[in-house]
Amino acid sequence: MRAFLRTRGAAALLLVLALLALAACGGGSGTGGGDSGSQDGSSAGPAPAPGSGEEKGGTLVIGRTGGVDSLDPARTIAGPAHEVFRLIFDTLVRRSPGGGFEGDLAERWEVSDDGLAWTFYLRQDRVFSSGNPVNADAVVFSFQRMMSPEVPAAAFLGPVQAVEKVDDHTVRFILAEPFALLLDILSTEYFGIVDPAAVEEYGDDFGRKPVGSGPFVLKEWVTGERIVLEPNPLYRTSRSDVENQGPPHLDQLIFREIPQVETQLAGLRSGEINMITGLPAEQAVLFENDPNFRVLRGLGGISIAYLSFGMVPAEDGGVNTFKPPFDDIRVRQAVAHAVDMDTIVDTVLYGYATRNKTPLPTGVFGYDPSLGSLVPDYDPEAAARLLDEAGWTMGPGGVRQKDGRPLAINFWSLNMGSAPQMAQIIQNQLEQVGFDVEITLLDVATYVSQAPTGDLDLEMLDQGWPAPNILNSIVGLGWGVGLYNNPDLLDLLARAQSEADDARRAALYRQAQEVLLKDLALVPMYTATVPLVTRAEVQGIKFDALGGPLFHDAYVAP
Amino acid sequence: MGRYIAVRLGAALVTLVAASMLIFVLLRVAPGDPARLMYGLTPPPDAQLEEMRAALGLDQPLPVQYARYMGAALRGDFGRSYRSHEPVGSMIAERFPRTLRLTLAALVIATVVGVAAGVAAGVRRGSWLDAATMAAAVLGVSVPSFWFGMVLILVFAVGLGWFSVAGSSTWRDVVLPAVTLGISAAAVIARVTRAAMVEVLTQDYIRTARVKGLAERVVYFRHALKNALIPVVSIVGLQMGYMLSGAIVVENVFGYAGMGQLAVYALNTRDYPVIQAVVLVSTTCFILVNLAVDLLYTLLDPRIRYA
Repeated sequence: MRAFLRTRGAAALLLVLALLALAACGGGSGTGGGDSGSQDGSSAGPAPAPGSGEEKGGTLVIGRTGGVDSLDPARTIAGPAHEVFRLIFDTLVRRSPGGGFEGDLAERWEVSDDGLAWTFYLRQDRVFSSGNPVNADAVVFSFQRMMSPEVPAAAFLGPVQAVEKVDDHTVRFILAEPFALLLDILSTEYFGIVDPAAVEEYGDDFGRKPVGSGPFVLKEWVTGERIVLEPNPLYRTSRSDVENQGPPHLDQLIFREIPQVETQLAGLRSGEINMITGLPAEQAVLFENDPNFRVLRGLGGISIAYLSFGMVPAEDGGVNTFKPPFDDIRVRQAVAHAVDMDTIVDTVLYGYATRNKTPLPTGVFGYDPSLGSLVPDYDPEAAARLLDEAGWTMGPGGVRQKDGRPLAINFWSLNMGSAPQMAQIIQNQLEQVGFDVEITLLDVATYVSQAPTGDLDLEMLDQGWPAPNILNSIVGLGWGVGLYNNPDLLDLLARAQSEADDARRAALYRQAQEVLLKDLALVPMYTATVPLVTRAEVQGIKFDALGGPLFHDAYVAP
Repeated sequence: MGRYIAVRLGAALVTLVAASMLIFVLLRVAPGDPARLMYGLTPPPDAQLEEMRAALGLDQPLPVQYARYMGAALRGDFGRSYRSHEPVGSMIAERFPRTLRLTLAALVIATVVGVAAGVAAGVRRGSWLDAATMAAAVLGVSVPSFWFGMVLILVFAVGLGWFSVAGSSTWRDVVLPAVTLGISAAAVIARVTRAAMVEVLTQDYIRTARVKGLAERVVYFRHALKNALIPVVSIVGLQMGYMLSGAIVVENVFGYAGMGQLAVYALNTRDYPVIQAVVLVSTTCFILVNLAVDLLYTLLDPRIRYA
C-alpha cells in the first residue's frame, strides 16, 4: 500500500485549490523548516487562564460561500470543511509564531540520526471533549486511519511507512527515506488526532459527529445552513500566540453557508452575521474606511498565482517540451514582458496580495525574493522586440504571424473569484503586443478533467500549500507546467525534501526555483492575502503562523 | 377514474425510469471525474485514484453501474454521497421538506396575488387598473429573480429588519424567498386569469345572470370566476413545476438549504448519487402535480370525464 506513495514521494503531495485553501487558512507568514533534533515543546504560559471572561462571550456568526461535505479529516480536503474542523481537532505539533514548530499534543520530539524514525512524546494531561485521554493509542489509530488509500489526504504523508506505539505516551513514525517536511505536514489539521472511541461508535457518521481535543465541539449541524460550535469545556492549550489557554470565551461560533457574496454582505450590514471569510478583494476594500467594520489580514501568504505554458508529453517518456508557439523561450519571455502584474495586483486585487516573482509563496520556507530578477519586467516594447526576433511579424488586425500562421493562443483560467477580470486584462495586454488570445473560463470540475487533454496554450492558476513541496505539486499537475519534468529540477526537489539541514535545504530549493525561472517554465504573479471582514463589535481575533484565524480570545462586545 | 389513475401512474413510472437513465448517462458523459475531484487541483498517484474510483464503484462498466444503482434504488436505497458519505435518502429527507415549504408558500402567494390581480384587471378591462396590473405583470415575469431577491433583502431585511437575510429554519427565513420565487408565477397567473375572465364575461350565461338581476359581485365570483379558473388551475400546476427549478436560483440567493442548493453543490463536486436522487425526486413531484391538476379538472368542470 505504501509503495505507490514512496515512488512518487512528495510529488504525490495533494494540493487543495488555493482559493479554497485560502478561505480556510488565510495568508500565512514565514515558517522555518522543520527543526531537526530534539526540541522542547513550547511551555508558554501557565495552565488554563482563569475565568473564561465574566463579561466576554457572545455569538460569532461567520458567513461564507462554501459547503461542508464532512468534518472528518479522513474524508475531505476541501477548504470549507478544513476551516471548521481545524477548530475541533488538535495536531501533534503546530507552527510557532516566530517560525519553526512547537509542540501541541506532543510535548517534544526527536529524530534518529538516519532521519528515518521520529519519536513524539505526548503531553499526559490532554483529553478529548468526550473525556477520553489523548494517548499513543489514539495517535496511532488516527494515523492508521489516514494512511488508507481511500483517504484524500493520505499522500500528504509522503514517505511515512508506519506509526507505532512505544508506550502509552510515546509514538514513533517510521519513514522510508528522510523527510524534512514531516513537521510541516503533521501541523496541518488534516492530521488532527481523533477520538478512537467516537470513530468506532459513529463509524461512517463520524464526519457528522466529530470528536477531537480542539478548542470547539460541534453542537448542531443543519446541513447547508449552519454549523454551530461551542467551546470545549475540557480544552487547554499551550499556544504562545493566544492569551486564553482554556476554553474559548465565545458562547457559540456559527458558520453560516450563504452561497451568494451579495447576500453575505447584506447579512453583515444587517448584523445577522458578524464576520465574512474569503471575501473577494473588490468587496473587502469597501469596508476599509468604515468605522462600523474591520478588515483583518493574515500575516503573509501560502499561495502562488502564476501563468504557465502548455506542454507536450514526450513520446518516448523522456523530457517534455513546450507546445508551440511557446517552444521558443523568447515567446515565453514576451508574455512576461507584456503583462503588467503590478497594476493587476493594485487594481484587481486592491493590494490584498503581494507581488511575487518567484515560484514559492512569500510565507513558505525557501522563499527568496532575489530570484525575481530572473523574471522579465513589464516592458511591452521588449515583448514586441522578442517576438520580432522569434520571427513573429506584425500582420493584419494587429495579430502577429509566422509562416502564415497567426499568433493565436488559448488562455485558460478558473471561473472563480477575481480570475475572470484578471484574465481579461492579461488578454488585452497580450493582444497589444500582437497575440490573438481566446479565453476559456471553466469551473474546477471541468477544468481538471479537460486541462490534461484540452487545447491549452497558456493558463493562470493559483495554488496554496504551507510547505516548499508546493513546487512538487506545481510540476505534478498533469498539464501546463505540471508536465515540466526537467530531470535537474526533479532531482533537486527530491534532495531538498530529504535534506535535514535548513541552510542546505534552502539552497536546494533556491536552485530548483532557478531552473524553473531560467527556463521561464512559469511566470509567477502574486501571493494573495485573503481578508476577513468583521463588524466592529467582534474583538480579539488573532492569527496563527499561517494567517488562519484563532478564536481563543475572541468575543463579541454587547 | 381508478383505471385512469392507474394508467397515469404507469406512464409516470416509465417517465421516471427514462429520467433516471438520462441523468445517469448525462452525468457520466459530462466532464469531471468525482474521484479525481476529491483531490483538488493536484492529481493523486494513479494507484490511489484507481482505488478511490473502485471504492465509489466507478470502475465498473456503465450498464453494471446503472443496474446496481437501480437495484438498490428499488429497495429504497439511493446510496451514499461520494462527499459526505451520508445516506442520500436522509439528505433528501432533510432538504425536501424545506423546498416543499418554500414552493408551497410561493405557490400560495402567486395564486392569491395572481388571481386577485387577474380578476380585478379582467373585470375592469380597459381601465387604468387593468393597464397598471398588466404592466406590473410584464415586469413580474421579466425581472430576474437574483436581482429581485437582492432588492427584497436590502429593503425588508437590511433596511426594515422584518425578515432574515438568509436561512431556512423559521418563517422569517421563508417569506422573502417565497415572494421572490412566487413573483413571476403571480404575473403569469394574473395574465391568464385576466384573459379567462375577459372571455368568460362575454358568454351568454353571464348575460343571463345579469338579466336575472344578480348583483355584479355574485356574477363575477359565483358565475364567472368558477369557469375562468379552469385554465388557471392548469397554469398553476405548470408554474409549480417551474418553481422547482426556479428554487435553485432563489435558494442560492437566500442561502436557503433546500434541494436547489444541494443540487448546485452536488453538481460542482460531481456527487452523482445526490444529483440522481434530486432529479428523481423533482421529476416525481412534477409528475404528481400534473396528475393532481388533471384530476382537479374533473371537479371544476363536470364536462370533463376520464375513462
